[in-house]
Amino acid sequence: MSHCPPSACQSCPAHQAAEAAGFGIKEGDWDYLVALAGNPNTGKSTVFNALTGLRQHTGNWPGKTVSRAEGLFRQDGQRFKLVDLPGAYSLLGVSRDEGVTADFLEHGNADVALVVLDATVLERNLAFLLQVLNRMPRCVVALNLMDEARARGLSIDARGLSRDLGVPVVPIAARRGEGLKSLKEAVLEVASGRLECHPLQIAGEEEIAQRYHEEASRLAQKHVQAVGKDQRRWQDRLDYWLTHPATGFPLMALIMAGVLWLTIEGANVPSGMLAELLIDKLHPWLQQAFAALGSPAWLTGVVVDGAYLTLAWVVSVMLPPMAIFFPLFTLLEDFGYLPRVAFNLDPLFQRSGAHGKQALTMAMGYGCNAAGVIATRIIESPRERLIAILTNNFALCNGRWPTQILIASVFLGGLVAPAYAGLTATAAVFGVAGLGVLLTFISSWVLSRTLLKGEAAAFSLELPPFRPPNVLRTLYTSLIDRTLFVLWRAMVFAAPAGIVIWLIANVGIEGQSLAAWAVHGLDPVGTLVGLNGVILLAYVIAIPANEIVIPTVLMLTVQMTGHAVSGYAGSGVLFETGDAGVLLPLLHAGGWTTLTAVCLMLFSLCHNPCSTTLYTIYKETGSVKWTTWAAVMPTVLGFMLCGLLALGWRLTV
Amino acid sequence: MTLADVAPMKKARIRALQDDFAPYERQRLIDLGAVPGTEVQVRGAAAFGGLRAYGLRGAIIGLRQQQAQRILVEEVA
Repeated sequence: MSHCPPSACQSCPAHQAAEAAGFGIKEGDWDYLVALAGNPNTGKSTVFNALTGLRQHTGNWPGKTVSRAEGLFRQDGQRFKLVDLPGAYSLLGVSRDEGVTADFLEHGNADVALVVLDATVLERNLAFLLQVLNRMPRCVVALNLMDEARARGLSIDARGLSRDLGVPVVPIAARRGEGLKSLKEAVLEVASGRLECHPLQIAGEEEIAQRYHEEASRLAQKHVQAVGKDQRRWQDRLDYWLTHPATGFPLMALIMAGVLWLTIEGANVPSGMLAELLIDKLHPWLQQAFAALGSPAWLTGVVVDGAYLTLAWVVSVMLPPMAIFFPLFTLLEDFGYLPRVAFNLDPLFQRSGAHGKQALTMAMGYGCNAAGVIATRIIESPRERLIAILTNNFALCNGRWPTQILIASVFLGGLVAPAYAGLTATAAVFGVAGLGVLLTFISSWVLSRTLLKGEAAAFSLELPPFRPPNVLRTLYTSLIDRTLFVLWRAMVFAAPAGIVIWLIANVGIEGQSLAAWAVHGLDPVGTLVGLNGVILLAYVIAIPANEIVIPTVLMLTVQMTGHAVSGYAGSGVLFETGDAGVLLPLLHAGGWTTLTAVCLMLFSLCHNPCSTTLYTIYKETGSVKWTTWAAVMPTVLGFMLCGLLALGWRLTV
Repeated sequence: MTLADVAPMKKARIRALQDDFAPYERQRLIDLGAVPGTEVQVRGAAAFGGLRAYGLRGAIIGLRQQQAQRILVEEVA
């Protein structure tokens, strides 16, 4: 405890290093260890990024940082190791994240605690700070979001606050870079001992939480003044409409459909251009180049027709939709819309016996299901957390959006007049995503009445203030962090998959290739559920990553039908719906109908999670049983849905 | 009366949290500042029986009705 004088042992560097090592912090090239703490949603990750120059993912919803990030910064030649701790409402708390934060502040041997406060919610934030001061006397306070406080017409007396708290208080606006220099100086002063802290202590054992809050309230009233006009009144009105019973749902649907429509309309042209360049121009050129260098046919096949062509499909099919979808989604996330979605959807989750924060983990699943599964750590109750993990797969991930968009554009967009093709495709993808939400509720409901019996527990959800995002920075970081990262992952899986595809298509037994054996073997089952053998084989090959399903389907179809692709992509019409396009004739040659397309969209929604997600589920649950359920449940559901649809379709159409 | 009985846009002062909260629920509410004597403003209606938003210590917090029903309050004029 802080009030005990440190023994000689405790202050010995060897002891400190050993203690820190217990928290997974390796002794390294730094002079001081700084713990970054604060309430959820105070912009800790933004402060972390601003100080270290790293790019931790930021987002305006409570619980975003579930694991610890570490980085370095320098000030006056001294090196500081900064540890970004999960946001906590209190150190007396019981949630897992808060335990991590409290533990680290008490035993992590940090030289300084850097506590980030949201200047617009100062009273609540101060209660947390007072708890930190009781455990960790060497503190620096970063009064963040001062720009927002000013916009609300608030004036905060940082000097007065600093005097009363007994530690330095530095007003900053981390996303604009304001005040960071002073903040680093203050951290150095305190770390080096040049500035001694005399932190305000709250004594007493009884009703301690209440005393923290009372003191915080007193300090906030004393040092915060409303001096100007509140320019953030629009936020209240916006919140009113976004969460209103009558308008909340329609607006939510409209925003989602808008994002999809922009993605579909916008991806068309660049996808065509990439296909023209990579498939039409570069592929034959590579074939010729390999031939000119005297490469044997099998080598050209494996490298150019296998690995390269699959890569080319991945890039042209995946990159454009992701480069549009991710930044749009990140803008909504940074603005603070996701907690409002959780707010609106709560009655449905409640009736399903699930946790309201499952809406947030579902939203993370739209980016990546593995990330969605990790995000379920924000759900405290184990039963509801498991439901959120098992149903996360019904949120279409980045590997599946392009599949949906491509198939909807090529097949369903082609059923209507060209002017309505984009809207039709949007409606179809929106329908599948909506079905995914519906299946989330239904499967949660079934799970909480069978395997995971129990009532919906209570929970609280903070609706953080809206924060107009820095558009350019968001575009840049989401492009670099999410789009390129996911594309890289897709490519890493695509090249080996391409080699496998070429090999099984060209190595044969009894005059028939392995691929043909597999496809013909799977065809009866595939046809029964409205798909075909090629699609089922593609899903087997694509277990490592959903991103490569469509490229694998296309590659296998090319190999099975002998349908030439080079020269067709030439008109820059990858997504073209007529016979002039490259995909429709190819897939028609593979025996596809509208039913195949619709069933593929359904199966893409409902099948086993990718291997990364399954591994993450295993790590998070520690259970083979639940990992198996997570794989089997959606796959069985997918076969049933597709089978029923195919049956009905064949009986009626 | 309980917090669930307070009409939208009205204010109430917290008297006590009932004893039948799960421990972590109670702790979380206390951490958010829902301690006796705290003034709370009801911000909107609970849509379809879902969350209702409350102004609590400068923040906006959504609570399910079953939670609000366990928070004893007195109305503030």
